[in-house]
Amino acid sequence: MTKRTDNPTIGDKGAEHGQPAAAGGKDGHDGTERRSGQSSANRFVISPRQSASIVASTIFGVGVLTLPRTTTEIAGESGWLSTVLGACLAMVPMLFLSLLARMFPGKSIVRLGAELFSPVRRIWIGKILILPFLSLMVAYWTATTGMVARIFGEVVTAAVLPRTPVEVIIGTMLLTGFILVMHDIETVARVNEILLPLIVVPILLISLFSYQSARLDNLFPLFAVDWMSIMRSSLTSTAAYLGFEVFTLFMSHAEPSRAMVRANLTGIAIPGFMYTLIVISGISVFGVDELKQLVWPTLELVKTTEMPGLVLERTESLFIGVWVTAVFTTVGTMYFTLTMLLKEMLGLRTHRWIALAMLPALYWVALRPQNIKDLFDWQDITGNYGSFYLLSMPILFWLIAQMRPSVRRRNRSAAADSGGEGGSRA
Amino acid sequence: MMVRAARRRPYNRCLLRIVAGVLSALLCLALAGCWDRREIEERTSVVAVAIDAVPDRPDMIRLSVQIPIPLKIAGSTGTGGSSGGDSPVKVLSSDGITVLDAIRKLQTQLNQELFYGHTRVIAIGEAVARKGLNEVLDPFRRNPQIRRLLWPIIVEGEGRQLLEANPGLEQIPTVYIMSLVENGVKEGYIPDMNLGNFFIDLSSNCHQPFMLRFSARKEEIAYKGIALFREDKMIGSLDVQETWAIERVRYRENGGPIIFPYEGDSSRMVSLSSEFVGQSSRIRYNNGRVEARIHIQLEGALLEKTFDDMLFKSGRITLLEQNAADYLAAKTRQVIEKLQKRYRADVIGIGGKIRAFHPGIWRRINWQSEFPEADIVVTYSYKLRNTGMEMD
Repeated sequence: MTKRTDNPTIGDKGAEHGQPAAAGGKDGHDGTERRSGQSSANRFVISPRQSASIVASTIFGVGVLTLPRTTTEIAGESGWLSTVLGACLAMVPMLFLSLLARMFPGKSIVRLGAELFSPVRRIWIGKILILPFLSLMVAYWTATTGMVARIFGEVVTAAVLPRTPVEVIIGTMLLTGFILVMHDIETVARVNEILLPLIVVPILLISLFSYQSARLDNLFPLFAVDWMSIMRSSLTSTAAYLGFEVFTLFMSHAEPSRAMVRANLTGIAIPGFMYTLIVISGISVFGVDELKQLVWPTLELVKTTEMPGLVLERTESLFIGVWVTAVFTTVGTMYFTLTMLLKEMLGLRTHRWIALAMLPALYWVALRPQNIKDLFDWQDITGNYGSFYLLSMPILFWLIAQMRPSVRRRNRSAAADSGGEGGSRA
Repeated sequence: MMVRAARRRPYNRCLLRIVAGVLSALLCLALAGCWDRREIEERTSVVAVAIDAVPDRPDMIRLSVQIPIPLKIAGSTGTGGSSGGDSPVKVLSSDGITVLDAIRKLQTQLNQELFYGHTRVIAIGEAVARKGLNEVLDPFRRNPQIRRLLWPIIVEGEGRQLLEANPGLEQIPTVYIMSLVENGVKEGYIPDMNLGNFFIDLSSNCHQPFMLRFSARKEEIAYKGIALFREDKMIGSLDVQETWAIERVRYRENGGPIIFPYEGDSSRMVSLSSEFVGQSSRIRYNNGRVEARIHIQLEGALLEKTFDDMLFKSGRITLLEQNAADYLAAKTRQVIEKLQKRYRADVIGIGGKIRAFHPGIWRRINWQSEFPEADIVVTYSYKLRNTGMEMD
């Protein structure tokens, strides 16, 4: 118990000394786990690498299929620039979330928010005040998980399985996600960690191969539109980076070190890099005018790609195979954080009942859009509101934390002696 | 401490039962099998499609498909038996008001479902192309089976002729066409105009699209240059040599050999190979007129000459190079003239250059109306690097 709560302190030292101390912190954690296996609290700590994987693979999902079109709609040939700026923009709230995680070790957004919003001894006031924020997140995650499953279904029916009803595809994806959600946080973290390279490497390869039919002329003029349009397009492309907000729940298990902050930013940089590569290749292969005609530009991009030596004639089947994994990590992780959030809000002991209850709800949401146009409208709406809310919320919370040093001090001292474990258990 | 509790009893038993029940009920879904399962022998692969006009029915089109017959496609060693001189492919046709209507009628003649995943050529008869292709190509854009890397080809006369012709060098004639084109593209004398690139040019506002043009007779299939389009309607054509100008100016490709009269004397012919080295262009907007100056550098080897003249004399090689450059410039001038005055269609890629590298000019002009008036001059320089194995 005491050993575990030492961790944050070691981690904090790590912040001063950099890498080695942070590694020491991790070792300490391993020792704890071994010892506490039979005795007291055995809390899984998400390593920085797992944290980065969770963020990266949750972000990387269905957005990539439409990104070349959506970014060039406003920014024209400079669309790739707006994906870069969008990634930078998404890093801001991620940074503040990570800082909050360091300030409040062992606490998720539910507990942390309640403490921020309440007077010293009346935590219930904070719990009530935080409710609107949390319900917004519940709504957002429900909508997004449903939409992701639906887009997955649409693409699979449109591209590979034309006869399979979209309901079945959505259902199987949600069920697979459900099976993941029935496990606990450690499993989710490890699944993300293992799957991330399996997603990144093939998709990186495929997008590099697609450069063979690129025409560089299509990328020019570099600054086709004015700065306002580029900024506007960056804001919309931030929606493609949503998914980082799952950290609001995972933060209760994050290692409160500087390495974690860096890892989380890397977690945004990885999809940022892949997105940028894909958008550049989309623009240079198709040109801005043709991109407007394509429903799933990235899929068409893959279809115009031939593997050297005719090893694989239809690269799109490989791409879709990998992409299923990417969607699974998005759906699974979001579904998981959604149930964890509800669990903590309702103060339940296990999230599994909620997972079961949410399954039909998500399925219902996924089937709301009547057609593909409807679906894209829905996606726009959730994306816009989502990015507005999730860009501002972490910054707001961080500012409140800055204005209330007493809360911060209490958390630091709590971490130092023994009260810290009160954290995420509301 | 709830986490600990959950750990000791990882699954709530009641919950576990419900989940197991739901999952096993879902297993019943698997009993129905896979919706999209279709074995390879249950589909009829179409390797080539032809679209033609129907004589005296202007509202209809005729769709033909070329289907390989697996039994007659022998392994490389002859199987003899059934194949006694029969064609290993079958060509079927059907008329319809739209493409899908024709396909529907075609399907009624077939025992298996048509599959377009292996389609490599779309042959389009000139008559349909002149009427406009937007309507007939729409299903090819929509159908996910259709690959963007297939070759759309305009056929002189009827598209069906291309499907019926069989040069006999490959078992499946479509494979022959495909490798003919792909080889040409690789060597740089046939432009890489696949379906995807055609769509791109069709939707861009800086180029007019074009397609490869073929002629087909019973046993002869030949590449004949390109067919020019304005929007989606065919308006004319360029021959093979004229196309090389476009290859060099727009695509920075080699084009084919340069065969020209030495010092303008047509009894003294010289053939040079051509390899693209570099290109520089200068585009300006002067007095309401676009002024484009393009300089292309080529190099190559002497392939043949039909006269005796010592090459290793001072100035001879320079003269030869100068001759080649002048000849190419004159040829290109003719092509540009044709494009500007006769067809008013920019396929030579100047519009793309303006859009990409001179956005200031691009915003001021409407290129479609400006192109015929533009002042475009292409000059060449040629470097002879090699005179072959003959010493003179």
